[in-house]
Amino acid sequence: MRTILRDLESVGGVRCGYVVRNGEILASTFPADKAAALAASQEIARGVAEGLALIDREWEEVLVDLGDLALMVLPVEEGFTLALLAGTDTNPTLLRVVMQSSVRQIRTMLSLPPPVPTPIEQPVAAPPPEPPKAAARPAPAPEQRPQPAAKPAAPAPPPRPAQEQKPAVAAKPVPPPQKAAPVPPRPAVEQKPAAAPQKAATPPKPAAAAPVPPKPAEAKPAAPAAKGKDAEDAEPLLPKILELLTGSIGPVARVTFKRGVSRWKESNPPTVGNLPSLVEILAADLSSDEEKRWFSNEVDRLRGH
Amino acid sequence: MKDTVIEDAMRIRGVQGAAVVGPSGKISASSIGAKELNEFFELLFRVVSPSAGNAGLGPIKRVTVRTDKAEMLSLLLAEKEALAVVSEKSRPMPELVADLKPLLPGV
Repeated sequence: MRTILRDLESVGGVRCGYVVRNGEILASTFPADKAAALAASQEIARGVAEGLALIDREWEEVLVDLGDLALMVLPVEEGFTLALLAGTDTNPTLLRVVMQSSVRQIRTMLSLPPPVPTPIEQPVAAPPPEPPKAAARPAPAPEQRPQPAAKPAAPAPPPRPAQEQKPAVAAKPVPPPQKAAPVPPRPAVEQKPAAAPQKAATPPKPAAAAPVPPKPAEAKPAAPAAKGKDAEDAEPLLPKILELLTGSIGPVARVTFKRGVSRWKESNPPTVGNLPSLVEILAADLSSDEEKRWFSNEVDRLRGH
Repeated sequence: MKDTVIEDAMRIRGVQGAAVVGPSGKISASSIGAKELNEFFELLFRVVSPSAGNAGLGPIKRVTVRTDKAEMLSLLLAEKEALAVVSEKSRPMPELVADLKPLLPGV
């Protein structure tokens, strides 16, 4: 557990972290003089969780802005949290990605059952606008709000920079139905809104649980040249795969890549033919289906497929 | 906080609802229709207010909670009050905060 925290500290800006389960500190890299901060952050996480439970919601992340520091807390399961204290210069999206990956690692380590993914529902925050209780004047109708220009559907999925780069969603209304699109079986991961309709319409990758129309030939016949290559050692290709991943999620890729490769090697001979399993592991840290598809295609290309 | 703060907040892209939590910890004005969300913000204010014994963390400027719904719940603390905001998850938080900050006094 402490190794996980140490790994997380290799992300730029991260100062320290802890893992707490039902009040018991399983691991912590908080310095002794920050014990009060640790306790206070636990209180906040507990308060938030309790408050959300009252309104029938679960939390995916709590971010506490402390001025020059930020505390990010993610739930592993009920009463079980992973928290990091980082400088505010740390990219919160990157931090979220690595922490989500660590949460999965902790779950695997402790053989915790995967959380049941909650389907995203439409926000219930602002139903028929209620007149402000006190002094505030009535809020403007949503139509009056400045709407960003709708972006044309993104073409080929390029590796995205490490910055927060969510789809430029038109302000309102958010397109509802696509959100229920088949989501790869990846628990506890933020489900971003579908960026473009065609994205939601694309079939899931082979790993997805959705029923696939029965095809007689399951394993697609590999090209003869590729077949021989499949048995080759994948080691020479790994730096290129890391490069692809870095292009997509930024410098934090080296952390997730290292972990992913270790997991892959535990259950697979490290051959070119087994690279799709590695892709599956690493793709869990990519935020959109589009990126996952792109990553998978690029690795296939490296494999000579 | 200015009387128009809610109206101003609602004009910001991604904002679905806003409320002011007064020094007493009670909502003093709100455009958030869901009663339970208003109550949640009152509770959150109590949890993060300096009197709640969070001194170990230092002064808290903002708390943002990503929920399992398509929303983010933020509480931006300013002096003895707070601005509560329900926003779309798709709006990057740094951008949203940058838009909201000018609405807060003394920030």
